[in-house]
Amino acid sequence: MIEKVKNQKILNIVSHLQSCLHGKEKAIVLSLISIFSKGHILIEDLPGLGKTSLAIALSRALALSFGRIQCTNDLLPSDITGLSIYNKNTGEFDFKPGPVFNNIVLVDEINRATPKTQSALLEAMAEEQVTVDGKTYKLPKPFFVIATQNPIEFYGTFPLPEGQLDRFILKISIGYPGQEAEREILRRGSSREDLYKLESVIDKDEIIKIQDEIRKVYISDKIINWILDFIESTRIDNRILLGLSTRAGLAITYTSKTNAYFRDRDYVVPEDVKDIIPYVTPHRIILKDDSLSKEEVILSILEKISTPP
Amino acid sequence: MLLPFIKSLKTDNIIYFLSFFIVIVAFSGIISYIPITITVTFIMILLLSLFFHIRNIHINQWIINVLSLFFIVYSFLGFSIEDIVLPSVEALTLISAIRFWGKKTWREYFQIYLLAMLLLGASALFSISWFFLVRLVFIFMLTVFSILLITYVKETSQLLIEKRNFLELLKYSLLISILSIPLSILFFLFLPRTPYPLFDIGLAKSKTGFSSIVSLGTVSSIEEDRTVVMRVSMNKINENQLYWRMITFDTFSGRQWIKDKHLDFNTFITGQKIRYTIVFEPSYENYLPVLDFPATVYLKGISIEHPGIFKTESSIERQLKYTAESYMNFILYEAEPSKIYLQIPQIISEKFKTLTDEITKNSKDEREIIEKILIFLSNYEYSLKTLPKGNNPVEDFIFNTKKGNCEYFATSMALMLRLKGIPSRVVGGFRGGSYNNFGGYYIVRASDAHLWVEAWIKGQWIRLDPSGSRPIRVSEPIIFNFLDYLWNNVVVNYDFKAQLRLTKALKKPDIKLDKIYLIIPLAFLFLFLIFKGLKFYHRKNEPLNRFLSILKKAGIERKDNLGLEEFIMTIDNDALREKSLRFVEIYYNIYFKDKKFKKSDLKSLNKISGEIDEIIKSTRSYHR
Repeated sequence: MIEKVKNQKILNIVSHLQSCLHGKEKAIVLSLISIFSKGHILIEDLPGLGKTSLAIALSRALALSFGRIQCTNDLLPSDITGLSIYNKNTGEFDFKPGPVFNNIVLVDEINRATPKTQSALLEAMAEEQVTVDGKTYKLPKPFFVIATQNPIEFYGTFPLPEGQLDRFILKISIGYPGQEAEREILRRGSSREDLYKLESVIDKDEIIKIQDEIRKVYISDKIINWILDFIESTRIDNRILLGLSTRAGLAITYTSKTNAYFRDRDYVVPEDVKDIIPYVTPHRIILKDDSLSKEEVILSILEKISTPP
Repeated sequence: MLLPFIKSLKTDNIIYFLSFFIVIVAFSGIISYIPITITVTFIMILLLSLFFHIRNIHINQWIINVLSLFFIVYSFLGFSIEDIVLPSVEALTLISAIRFWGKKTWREYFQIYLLAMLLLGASALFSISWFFLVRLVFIFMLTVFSILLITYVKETSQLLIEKRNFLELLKYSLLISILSIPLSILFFLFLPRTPYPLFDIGLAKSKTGFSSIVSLGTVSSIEEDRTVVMRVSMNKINENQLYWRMITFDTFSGRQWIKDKHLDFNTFITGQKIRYTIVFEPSYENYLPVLDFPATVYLKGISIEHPGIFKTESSIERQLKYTAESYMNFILYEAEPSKIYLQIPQIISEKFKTLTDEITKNSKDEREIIEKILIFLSNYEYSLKTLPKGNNPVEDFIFNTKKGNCEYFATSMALMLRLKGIPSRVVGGFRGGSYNNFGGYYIVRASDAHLWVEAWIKGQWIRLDPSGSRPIRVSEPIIFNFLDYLWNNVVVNYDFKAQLRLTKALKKPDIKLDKIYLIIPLAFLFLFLIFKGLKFYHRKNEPLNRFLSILKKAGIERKDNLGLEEFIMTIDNDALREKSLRFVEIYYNIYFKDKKFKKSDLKSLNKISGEIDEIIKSTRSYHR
C-alpha cells in the first residue's frame, strides 16, 4: 500500500508518522485515506497493538485536537456529547462540551458501550453536530472518529449492528508489527511523551484543501459501471444474505478517489478501486453462513467480474 | 450524486406502450376498409385507455365484457349473408381496444396480442400486399419482446428494469424473431395450400377493365385511378408500341360504344413475335390486356372473341398470371371488312357531316383524309375534367367544349372516317406504362386506360391515335413497386401448383426469381461482412488489443478480472515491466479520463508496443 503512494504531501505525512509508529504503514495510509475521504474508521484488533498511539500520532502530525472516549457499559450519551451545567454566577446553564468536540476522537472499545450511547455517538458522526438540551452545536472540522473494537471478548459487549457498521467508511485491523519493527519498538521503548511532542507537518486548512481537491478527482463512467457491477454481484450472490448498499457504493467511489489522489493522479483507475474494496466493503455485508470469511467472499466476487478496459 | 446509480425503466409503461403499438399496427391494416365511425370509436377508446393508464384507473372487468358483447351485437346489426367478414373485423377492432381499459395482468396482454394477430389475419382478407409482411414482422417482433418482458416481470416481480437487462431482453427477442424466419419459410413452402381462397369476400373494388359497353365519360373515371392494373415482365420496347389491346368496339349508339358482333376470322397478320408474362390484377371483367397485336395467350379456359381479343370464362376476381405472345411492327391484313365498321348513329347531325367534308376537302386519297382529321383534332385540348355529357356528347365536344379525353378524340375520329367511307373501329385498352429497369418489367396503371382508332385502308388495318399527344409517364418510384412485384410474384402467386412442382423437382423451384433479385440480399450480406471485417480489423489494431496480443505471444496472458496495472505487475522481466507500465500509464490517462484517442496517442502507444515486441524478441534470442 505504502509503496504506491506518490503524492508528495501525503508521503511527507506518512514518513513523518512512520518515525514514531513502527510497522504500521498500512494502517497509517488507510487512516489517512479515511480522513481525507471525510469518513470514519473502525479498527478491529486486539489490545496492545498501538491503536491509541496511531490516533495520537495522527492528531499531532495533522495539527488536530484529540479527544478520547473509553467505552464502558455505564457510559452515558452525555459523557460523549457534553452537558449543560448550572452556573451559579451567571444564573444560566453553561454547556460543557464533551470529548466528541475534537478533530480526532478515539472511541476505544465501542462495543462495550450500551446501544443508547453507541447510537448517540454514531449520530454525531453522521450529522457532524450534537444536540444537547434542544441546542445544536456544530462539531469542529475536520471531524474524524477512530473507533476500536475487540474481536475476541464478547462477554458484556454490545456488538454494533451492520446498519451502524455501514457508517464507518473503512474497517481495518492493524495486526502484529513485523519482526524488525517490533524489535525496534522494544529497543526504544514506547513513550507517549514522544508522541505528544510530535511536530505537525500540515495544518487544518491544508487538510480541508486536500479534501476538496480529492472531490474533484475524475471518475469515469466506465469505473462507475464496473463498481455497479460489483455491487450488483454482491446482491445476487447466494452466499450473501445482505449485499452492499448504495451508501457502500458511495464509500467505494470516495475512497477510490482519495486513493487515486494519494497515487498522484487526478483520475481513478481500477487498481485504486480494487485496492480499497477489501477495507470498504466486508463489514457492510451479512453472510448466510457465519463460518465463511467476509473478506474472502468479497475477493472471490471481485475475481469473477472482469476489470475494465 | 445518487442519480447516476439509478438508470431504470418502468416495465409497466413499456409493456403498455408496446401493446398499444402492436394493436395500432394491426389496426393500420384494416383502417381503410372499416367505416369511419368504427375508426373514431377505436381511437377514442385507445385515448381513454391512455388517460386511464396515466391516472392508474382500472375499469371493472364485467363492464369491459358487457361493452365487448355490445360491440359484437352492434357490429352484426347491419349483418348480411354476403358480408360476414366486415362486422367480425369491426367487432374485433373494438374489442381489442377495450381490453386496454381493465387491470392489465399478463392474461389481458396475451388476449390483446391474440386479438391483434386475428386483426392482422383479417386484414389479409381485404388485401394481400407486401405491407402485410411488414406488419406481420413488426407485430411478431414486438409481441415476442413484450412477452419476454412480461415473463421477466412475472419472474422477478420487479417494477423497474435496468437498461442493461432491457437491452438483453431486446437482443433475445430479436434473436427469436430472426431464428423463426427460416422455419416460417419452410412452412410457407411446404404447408398444403388450396388453389382457391378460403373466403372470397367480394368487396366492391373499383373496376379497372373494359366491359363490352363503354359509355363516353366512363373511362375518365378510370384514368384518375392510380392503382396498378398489371405488371408485364419483358424487355424494354419502343414507347410508341406500348398499346395494350383489350377490346374492339364496332357500333356507336351516339352515347356508347358497343361490341356488337362476333366477327369473322378472316384476318392475316405478319410481324415479329415476342413473348412476355403479365400479372394482371383483378378487374372484375372478362377481357385480358395483351400487347398490340396479340398472337397467343397461354392460359386455360380463355376464348378468342375476335382476332386479338381474349376473354376469360368468368370475371377476373383474383390476380391472374399469364404468358402471351404478340407481333411487333405488325401488319394486319383483312380482305374485306364488315359493313358494320361504316355504321353511323342517327343522332349525328348534318353540321357534323359538313364539318367533316370541310376538313377533308381536296384530299387525294384516304391517307390524306386521315392526316387532315388528325391535324384538325390536334387543336383540341386533352382534359379529364368537365367532359361533355348529354344526348350528343360527340358533337358537344366538337362544337362546344373542345375539351375531352381519349374517348372523345377516338369517337370523333372514327365517326369522321366512317363518314368519309373508311371502315374504322375503336380499340380499348391501355397505353404506355413505366419500365422498372431494376425488375425488368412494365407497370401499367388504371390511369393508362386508353381508347384509340383503327382504320382500314388498302386492305390493312392501321392504328391511329388522335389523342396521342397526351404525355406518357416515364419514371416511377422504383423500389416500392419492385417490392410489390417481388411479393406478388414470389409469395401471393405461390400456389398449390407451384408447390407440387417444387416437391416434384426440388432441384429447381418454379418460382421465377431472376438472378438480379439475389443481388439485394447478397449486397446486404456483403456490406455486413465488410462492416464486421472492418470492426474486427479495427479491434485488432486497437492499441490495447495489440499490446495484449504481443504480451500473449510471449506467454504473458491477462486474466479478465485483473486490472491492467495489476496484470503488468505480475511480469518478472524488469525491462518489460517498466515498458509495459509506461504503456498502461499513458493508456489509463486517456481511457479513464474519457478522452478521445488522438492520432499522436495511438502512435506513441503503438510505438511502445513495438518496443515491447523488441524486448520480447531479444530476451527470446538470449534464452536460445
